[in-house]
Amino acid sequence: MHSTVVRAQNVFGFFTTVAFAVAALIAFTDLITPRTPKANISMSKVEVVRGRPNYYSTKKEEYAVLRFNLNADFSSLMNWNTKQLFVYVSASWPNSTSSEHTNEAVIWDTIITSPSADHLQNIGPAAMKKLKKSAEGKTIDPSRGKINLKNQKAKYQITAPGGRLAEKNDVVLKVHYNIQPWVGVLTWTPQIEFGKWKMMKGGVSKLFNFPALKVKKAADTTSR
Amino acid sequence: MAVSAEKISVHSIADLKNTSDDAIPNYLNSLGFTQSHTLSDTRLALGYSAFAICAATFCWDYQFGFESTKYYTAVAVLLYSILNGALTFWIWAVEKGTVYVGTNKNGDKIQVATKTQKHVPIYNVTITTYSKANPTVPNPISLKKPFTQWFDKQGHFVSLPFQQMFASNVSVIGKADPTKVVEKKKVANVEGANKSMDEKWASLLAESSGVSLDDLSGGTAAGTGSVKSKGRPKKN
Amino acid sequence: MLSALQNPRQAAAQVLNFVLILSTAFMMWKGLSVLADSPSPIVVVLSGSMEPAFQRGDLLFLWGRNIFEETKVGEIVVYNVKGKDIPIVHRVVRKFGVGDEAKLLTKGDNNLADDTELYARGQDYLERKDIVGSVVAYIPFVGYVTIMLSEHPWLKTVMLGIMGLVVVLQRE
Repeated sequence: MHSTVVRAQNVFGFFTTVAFAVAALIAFTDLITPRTPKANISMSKVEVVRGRPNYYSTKKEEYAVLRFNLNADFSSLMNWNTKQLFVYVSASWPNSTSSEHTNEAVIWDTIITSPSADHLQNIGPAAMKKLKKSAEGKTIDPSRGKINLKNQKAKYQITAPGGRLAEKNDVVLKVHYNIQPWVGVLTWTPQIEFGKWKMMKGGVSKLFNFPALKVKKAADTTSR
Repeated sequence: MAVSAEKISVHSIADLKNTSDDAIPNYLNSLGFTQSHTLSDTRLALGYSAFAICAATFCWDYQFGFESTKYYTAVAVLLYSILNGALTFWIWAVEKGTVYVGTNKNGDKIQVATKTQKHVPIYNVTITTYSKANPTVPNPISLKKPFTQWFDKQGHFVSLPFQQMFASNVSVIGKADPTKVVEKKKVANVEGANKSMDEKWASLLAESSGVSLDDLSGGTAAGTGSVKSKGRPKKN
Repeated sequence: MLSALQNPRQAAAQVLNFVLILSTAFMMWKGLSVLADSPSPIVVVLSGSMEPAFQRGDLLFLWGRNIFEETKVGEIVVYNVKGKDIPIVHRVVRKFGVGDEAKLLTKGDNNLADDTELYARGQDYLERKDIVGSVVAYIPFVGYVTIMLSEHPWLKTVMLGIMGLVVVLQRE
């Protein structure tokens, strides 16, 4: 009983200790890596139509379709512990009763993987080959953190419970990010400056209004 | 009964220490000491009440779910950590490795604590005696002995040298068991277990006459050597 | 070693060692639950719907308290659907209103459509009370052991048996 089992236990115990210590160290390096994200977002086109926003929608409702411009530099967020960067754009608008932006919906998102996580992406073989080639020989590719979109169509139409969306005022688009580490703490766009992590420069659009409901003819030509 | 039938792994210091620790109460109780279990009973009480709290928490968590019982669970976690802390404190600061507390018929108190260091096969024993006349004045004796003195190569525990170590060094024990007292703080060697009949006789004689084996071996060195080389070769 | 069991105090002490290992593990888990205000503060990812962020077997640490701010859009939450046992880990993509009544919609990063179809019949949105916790930290792969154990139940028996034997037959 003594030698073999105890030795195996000791070896395994030592292995786990070392593995966790290394993981903790790696996670810690996030804190000492500066983050200086910047983004510029503007709405380019918006319309509100009535119809079925999704193929599984049971009833017709009002929904908003948007186009936007996004110019962002998140290259400082791509470090050796970044598995993926999840960038998303949300639209938020207040309730009729308050001026607080109490409603928020994601209209567009993208997953930017580190070269080390490319193989995990759920994309076709051709796209995968291209993606892998784009960062050949690199373990970190900060250039992937640069986003430049002109008149980009939203991926998700905006809906609201109750189905009323037209003529809502003070809508704003915001850019957010979520860093998924290889190990450690997940981080989102910081609300306050935190050590070497600066707040995002820009990333909020000018206020705009949802227009009145668009006339019937466009209603059923949804994107899907 | 001089050699235990059980065998332990001689490479495990924990095994060596535990077997030796277990032998101390057996020996001292056989000499008429009355063992006091207060220390270990307190430890068991602390430990099992902590376990009782844990069991209760498990039951209500299982029965009623987390959400409705979380405040009780919070209190239970706090209590458990306090009890566990107390237990750790008890083992570390009060018991300090104590394996035996007892009193003899005269009212003399004896307390034995043992300790080993990682990877060092040496038994550190601290025997503290309190005489009846002066029950508050401790009289500590520290011994550092290699385990090889009372374990043979196969891992059998040999009680004679072990008991001699106590009897010779601690006067209270020596008085209770005068036959095991060996002068000049020399005790019989474990090697005795592997020696020929002649040598065993010699060591027995030595004990009864109060002369230590080591003193005797000087005189019969030549004889011993020849016996050893002729006899079965050393194992290992 | 087994002869030690003849002495009741020693037997009790030896059993206590074993029992305290188990109960300390359990109480640490409960302490973490209470601290994070979540019935299961550590979960193992079972599906690939959040790939590439989370794979099967990854370990997630959840936080169930909303001290500074509410659960908001972009957060990754673990939620339970009424009548289904398996908790789901997905990202909040829409939120309407504030407070406990706020309506939340979730979607897996790797899924094309949002979770409306995963919810219970007649349920269009989640509420705060459906959420077990938000993901705050991540360790890859470590949880794969539990997936193995749940997929091959005999491994559980074997492991428990070995653990019990080792602890009972060995002191310290």
